[in-house]
Amino acid sequence: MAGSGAHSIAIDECMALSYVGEIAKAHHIGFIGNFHVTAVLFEETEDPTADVQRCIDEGKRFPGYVFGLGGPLTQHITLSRLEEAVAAYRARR
Amino acid sequence: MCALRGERVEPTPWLPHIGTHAAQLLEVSAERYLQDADLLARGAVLCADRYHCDGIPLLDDPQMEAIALGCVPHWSEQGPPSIVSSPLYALPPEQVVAHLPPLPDETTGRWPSVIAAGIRAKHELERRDIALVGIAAGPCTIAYQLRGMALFRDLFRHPECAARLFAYAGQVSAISARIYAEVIGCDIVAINDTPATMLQPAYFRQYVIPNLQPAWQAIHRAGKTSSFWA
Repeated sequence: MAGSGAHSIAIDECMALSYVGEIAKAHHIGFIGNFHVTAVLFEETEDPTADVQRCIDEGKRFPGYVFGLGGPLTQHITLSRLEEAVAAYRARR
Repeated sequence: MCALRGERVEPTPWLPHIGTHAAQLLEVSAERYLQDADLLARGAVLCADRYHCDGIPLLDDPQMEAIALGCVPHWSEQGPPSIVSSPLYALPPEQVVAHLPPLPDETTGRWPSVIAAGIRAKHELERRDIALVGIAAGPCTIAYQLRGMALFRDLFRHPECAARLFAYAGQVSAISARIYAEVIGCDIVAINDTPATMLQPAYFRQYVIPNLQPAWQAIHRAGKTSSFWA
């Protein structure tokens, strides 16, 4: 993917963001990812801010990092959990 | 845009893969939202404002191109449609190339609505300094939707048929990319090709990478930023 010719790549939550960051840096491209949408926005027991922290910790170390989601948002997520995640991102960006 | 081209920027930008979430905010079904230019434009701007994004997709429906090519959708209240049949599903491999649908253009399928939505949203987002993102289906997505599970049999038993189908699908991706980049003026154009992750690396290199190039050329020729989502 990194060598496909695109300026940037986006990856799902199954990939380690720090590993993708190394690859993106080597290819001088940007990378987007990979907040865990399905686990965090539906699952009431997980803390959405913890996954934001993981993304920022692993991604921000590398040039070209853009905070994003590991997959598309669906309908009927818990809105307050998404808003909590966005607030956590804005406090850490 | 600088970050997506590999530069370090502060603060870290944020670009969500928005799916049909705006339909939830607008209190309409996904089926209605995905086919209505006004709702698409309002949804993109609403999400961008509500979640303080630096970029926002216009439309996130991986089936849009396939429906424009004659595939039959099953619409959903809560998400993008599913493809339930295609003109190529039941054909023997040797007949697939002869039955490939005519290539689409900006008058085909839902493109007129998407273009109207994009032009409206682009104007609103520019005032807010937020990038508009176009998402086109990738070659493997389109080939899979046109051929169904038979695509994977073709890869093993009829590689020439698979190669022609992927080449055709790459042309369709490039047409979508050109419409997003040139006609709508999206700042970023992403090629979304999730089914490509089901291919082994050798097939990915043989069938997907070469057929992404026409899309990258269309995006880069328009001076826009490209992204590969899988």
